[in-house]
Amino acid sequence: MGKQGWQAVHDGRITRRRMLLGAAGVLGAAVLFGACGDDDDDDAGGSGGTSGTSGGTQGGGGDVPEPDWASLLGVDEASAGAGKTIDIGAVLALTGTGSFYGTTMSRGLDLAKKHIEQAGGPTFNYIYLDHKSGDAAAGVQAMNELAARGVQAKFASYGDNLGSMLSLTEEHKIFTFDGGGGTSIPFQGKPYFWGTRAITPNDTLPGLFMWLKETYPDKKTVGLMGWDIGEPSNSIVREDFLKKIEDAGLEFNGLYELVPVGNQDFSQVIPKIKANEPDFLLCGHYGQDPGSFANQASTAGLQAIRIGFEYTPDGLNASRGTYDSEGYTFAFDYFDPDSAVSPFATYFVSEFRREYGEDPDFYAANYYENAFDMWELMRRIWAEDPDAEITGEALDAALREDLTLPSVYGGDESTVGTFTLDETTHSVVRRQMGVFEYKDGKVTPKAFFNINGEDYRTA
Amino acid sequence: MTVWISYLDQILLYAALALSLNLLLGYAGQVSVAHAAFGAIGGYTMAYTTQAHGWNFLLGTALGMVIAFVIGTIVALPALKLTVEYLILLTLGVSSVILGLVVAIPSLGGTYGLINLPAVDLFGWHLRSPTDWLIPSGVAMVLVYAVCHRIGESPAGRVLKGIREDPVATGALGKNVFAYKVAVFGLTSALAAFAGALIAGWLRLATPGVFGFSFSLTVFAIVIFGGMANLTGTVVGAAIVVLLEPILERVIDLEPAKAGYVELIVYGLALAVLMRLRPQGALPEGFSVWGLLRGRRQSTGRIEMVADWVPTTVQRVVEHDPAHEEPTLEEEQRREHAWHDAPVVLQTKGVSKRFGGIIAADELDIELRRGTITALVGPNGAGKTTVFNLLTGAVAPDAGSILLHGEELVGLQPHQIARRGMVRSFQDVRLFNRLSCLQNVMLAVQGQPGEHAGKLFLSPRAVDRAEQETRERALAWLRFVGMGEFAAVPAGALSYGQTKLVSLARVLATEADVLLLDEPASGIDTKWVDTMLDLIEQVRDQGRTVCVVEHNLHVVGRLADHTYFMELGRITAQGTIAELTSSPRLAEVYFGT
Amino acid sequence: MLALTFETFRQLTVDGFFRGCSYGLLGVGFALILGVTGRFHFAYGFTYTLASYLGFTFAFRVNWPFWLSAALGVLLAAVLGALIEAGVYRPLARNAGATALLAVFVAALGIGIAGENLIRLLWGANTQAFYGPRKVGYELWDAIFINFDVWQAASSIAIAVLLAAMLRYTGLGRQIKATRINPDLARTIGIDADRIYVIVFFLGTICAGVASFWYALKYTVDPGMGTLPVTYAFVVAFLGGTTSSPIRVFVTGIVVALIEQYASIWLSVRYTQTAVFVVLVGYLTYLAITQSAWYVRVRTRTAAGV
Repeated sequence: MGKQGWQAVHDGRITRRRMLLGAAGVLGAAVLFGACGDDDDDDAGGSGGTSGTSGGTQGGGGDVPEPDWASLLGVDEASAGAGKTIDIGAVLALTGTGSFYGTTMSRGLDLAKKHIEQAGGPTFNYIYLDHKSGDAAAGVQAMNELAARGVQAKFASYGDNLGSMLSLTEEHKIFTFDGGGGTSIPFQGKPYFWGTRAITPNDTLPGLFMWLKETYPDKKTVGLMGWDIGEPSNSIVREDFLKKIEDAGLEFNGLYELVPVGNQDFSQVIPKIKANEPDFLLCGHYGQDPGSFANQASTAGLQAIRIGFEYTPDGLNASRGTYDSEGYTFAFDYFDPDSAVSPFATYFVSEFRREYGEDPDFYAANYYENAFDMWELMRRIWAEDPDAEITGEALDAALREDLTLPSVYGGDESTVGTFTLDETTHSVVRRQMGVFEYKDGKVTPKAFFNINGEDYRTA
Repeated sequence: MTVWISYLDQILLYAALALSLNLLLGYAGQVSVAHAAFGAIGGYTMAYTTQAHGWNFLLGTALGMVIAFVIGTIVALPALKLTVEYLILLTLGVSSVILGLVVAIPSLGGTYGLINLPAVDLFGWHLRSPTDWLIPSGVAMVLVYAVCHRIGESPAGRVLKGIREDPVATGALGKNVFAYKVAVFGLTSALAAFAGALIAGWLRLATPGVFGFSFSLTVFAIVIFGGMANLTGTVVGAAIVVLLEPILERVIDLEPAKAGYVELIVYGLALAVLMRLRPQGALPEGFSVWGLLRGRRQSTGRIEMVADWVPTTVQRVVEHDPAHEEPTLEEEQRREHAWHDAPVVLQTKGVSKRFGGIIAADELDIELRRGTITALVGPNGAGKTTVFNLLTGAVAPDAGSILLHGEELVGLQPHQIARRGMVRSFQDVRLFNRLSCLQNVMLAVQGQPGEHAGKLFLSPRAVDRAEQETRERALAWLRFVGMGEFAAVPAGALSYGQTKLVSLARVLATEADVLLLDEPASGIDTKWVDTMLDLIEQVRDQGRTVCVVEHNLHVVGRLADHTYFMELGRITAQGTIAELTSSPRLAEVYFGT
Repeated sequence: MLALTFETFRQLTVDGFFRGCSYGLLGVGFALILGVTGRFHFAYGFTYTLASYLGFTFAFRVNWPFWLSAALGVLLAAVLGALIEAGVYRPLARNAGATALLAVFVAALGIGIAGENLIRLLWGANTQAFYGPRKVGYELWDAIFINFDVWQAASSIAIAVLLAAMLRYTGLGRQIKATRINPDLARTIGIDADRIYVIVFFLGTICAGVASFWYALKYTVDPGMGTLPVTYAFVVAFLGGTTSSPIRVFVTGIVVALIEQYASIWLSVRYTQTAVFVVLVGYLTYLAITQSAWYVRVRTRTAAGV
């Protein structure tokens, strides 16, 4: 090839490289341009939908005065722990599919830290670690890190990371609250691990059935579609479910379909439901799955009254407007900012709105209250001995002294709500739950009740 | 800093898993994305037996290894005939099925798996903290390393590499490719189960998430990234993959969520960039720090063309007789008579083969006699290479029999025929490009004890001695064809003529009685041709039986003692070249005049 | 087992058909890329996801018209696909020689991981909905489907047919086929194989982008949405044959989807995906057996009456 030929090739290569870079530049600009107009961590649903919050007034928070912590929560200066710094681990889904929730959880924790300090409490030094939405090895590494730093307490999620951290929690005696995944059925009774959420759907059923019978007196049959969580949990849930239906005087119609976790396509399940359609269809799946199901069930013309057990922005978005147009009924320990009455809860809601410009979701609420609960246990320890060291064992013992803790759920105008744990199962035995309906951007409570249907009242 | 000890444990355990994949993928060339699934078999078996039935950890692990071995060999069976893409698909399918089953079996915990396993108990020593795990994970990794190294760098490993480069050529040298593939699948699956059991023990759980497909891909990346067929590279790769995130975590100062994403972005880009810069992996094949220290020159990943250098043959058995250059008619007649006097070594009777409507071979009666060169000539499409395929068992005849030393060959596999003393060279040479010339020839040597796993581990000294002998013999054959200087050069760097010489050395090294040479002198220029012909004559003079397929009548004229002329699958004439070329009909068929 | 009514069967078939059109389109794109270039383009999932995210961003952040935004998203993703080939795979393959296939695989993996997390970083990790035209339901022979399904199927079939026609009847198609058979040989007769590779990546990624867009319109977008489609693309591409006509690959996609749907008649939904892989493994085993020397010998002997 002569010199000219080489030059042609060389030029060709230069031109090509320039084109390459040019194209890359355009593409990069498009990506950044598009993404820049976006607020990170926003669950934006687009112009056709609504944002995922529960529709309360946004902005204009901060008009609830700081409560008198001493009278409200029994904070005593001597045992409050002002000036102390405590390391607390927070092992959350910071990356991966659940990272949106990791963010709201951390918001609750951060706000609580601020308020606790304000109220004369210690400084919580959070050590945020990432379990990558359920990765076992990441959870183990996180625990090793906490153990290496001598951390005595932590906030966990996903049921101590789908159980993968439980053995290390026990090993290193790291006292744990899990306000995200709770204990569920497989993780009950594990040492140092306490789940502060109700177990859905089972805990909600008695109260839910009471409301259903009241509201739809002519309807009787119940069926379930839910996540496959493996044995023996599947069988335990099913047994309990059947018993509770019987206790409520309703009738199980035989429909019990298990679907994979995260399943978005219900084209195989819907024909099965249609073949045996109950009056009430309980949908025991979470995240965005209930939204997808609502959308497809509506298209398919399913007549059953669908009841969900979680309400999240993911689900709302996945429903693609079905929640808004047809309404979505759900029952669980949902935090409704507009129903908050106790001084503790109203302060939380108003401060959260001020700090973050939107309403708190129930994860933020759970972790906020869990931080305060952690502080309560520490105060119990310091009440005995103001210089006592906070250890996992001490926290555990302090909890067992009195298994009822302050909560942003429930209560009334002058008293703080509470929830109660069980010393054997480490799950909640008392926690306010309710039936709610979301429609057209607004959540309306329908009824409130406690586990096993106690304290039932219509909203 | 116990945190780093925990990461070190993770590195050792991941490396233990990845090393066996390197044996399967890097040495044997079998692309499997199911490795973590075999780890799952080990992990789940160990978890279930220790948790539900109180078994000893080692016993549970051993059972897991056995189960994985069985499943691995079963998977190997369909894998044998599949190309790379299909193998990836098959292993993808197997991985999904294994994980699907594990989730479906109720006693294995479903989606959540088996959690909260008791701390691993090694004869009273409970492994709880990262420090406790340091020695066991180190020992495990070293064990797996030792086994893989012993196999990979042995004669058996050489066969595996041959299978990686060209399974057909490897089979033609007498190696039972089927057995090797099944064995390597089974063995590496068992080793994966071993590592999997340890990982499950370390995590104290066995879940579908731990052993999921993304973990298979991570292990895969570690092997490629670290360097195929380089075990040290795999350990390095594991270290990089595990340490990248914690290091980035401490370097990048962002809020936790954002930092997490940035770490993963950097990790992904690092994979892509490092592959781009060093596609052969961090440590290329054959590279070892050991060897570097000893000053041994290593073959590099980048192949550079070696200068076109014509070798001169060093050894001569019989003095070169110029009369052989252009044989006279009398000379030809004399050779023909000698051919008829020589004893028959290989005989075919009525061998026929059809491919659909095409008759590739029709009632062939061929004789190859000891110490002679027989030639097969004919126009393109006459079926000459098919004859070789039929003789060596690559293709099964529809009818007829093939007798070697009176023994029937029809129905035998190519490697069995090769072992009985008949080997072939290929028209397209088919050297093992990433192996050195010496390794190419060493592969051909028969009866190496190191090719059997049992002897490899049980009589190491005998194996090493035999390996030394093999090396010397192979070198001698290389020198015979004049390529002794090129012993350490990778075959892919040679020129075409040079590869033909090495290919001849390889065939000779089998020391087979019957050599079938497919167009040994084609495609190379005259100075090489003479060398080649010289060598073939020497081989004949050493008493071997040679059959040559050729187009070049000059070559045939010089070499052949007897010639068969083939047309459309049939032998239409035989005798001396003079007799054949004097027939006008044949001349027309061959030259088209 | 579900009491198999005709209605159920029809519904499953209709669902399977529409799903299959999506799988088919994914398979066609992936088969084109893999068949012609031999690259294990694992980053296909990333370009799939990006197409929808870009479209969504243009439509709702920048407020451009809906269909224009969607088209632009698909196009830009296709450009990215081409860039990945030109900027990453090609120089890598040149450098790598014999180990190119696997090195490209790992590089693609890396790009996929980086890309997915880049999307998480820039757009947030949660699920988002992509709103467009109104959903309209139809009922045909007791089976229910929606307008998006119809448009998706129509466009998928159209693209597959167009690609098949292009390959068969146009000069570019001949060049692509020549490059597919033997790139070195193609170069010697004046075909710019590098350019063909880039074009093929562009076309293949268009398939991914379109499939992604219809999925996003019917369901939702999330950063990890590309993982499963890549797996299906891979499976369908291989079963259909990476050197076969796009029509054949497309039909294979429909078959795979139907297998999945029909499996739910006998199995719980949680097992149907595994069922597809069981069928896959079984089919590959069957292929291997029929190709094995042993089997050929048995057949020949039987045929010859030996």
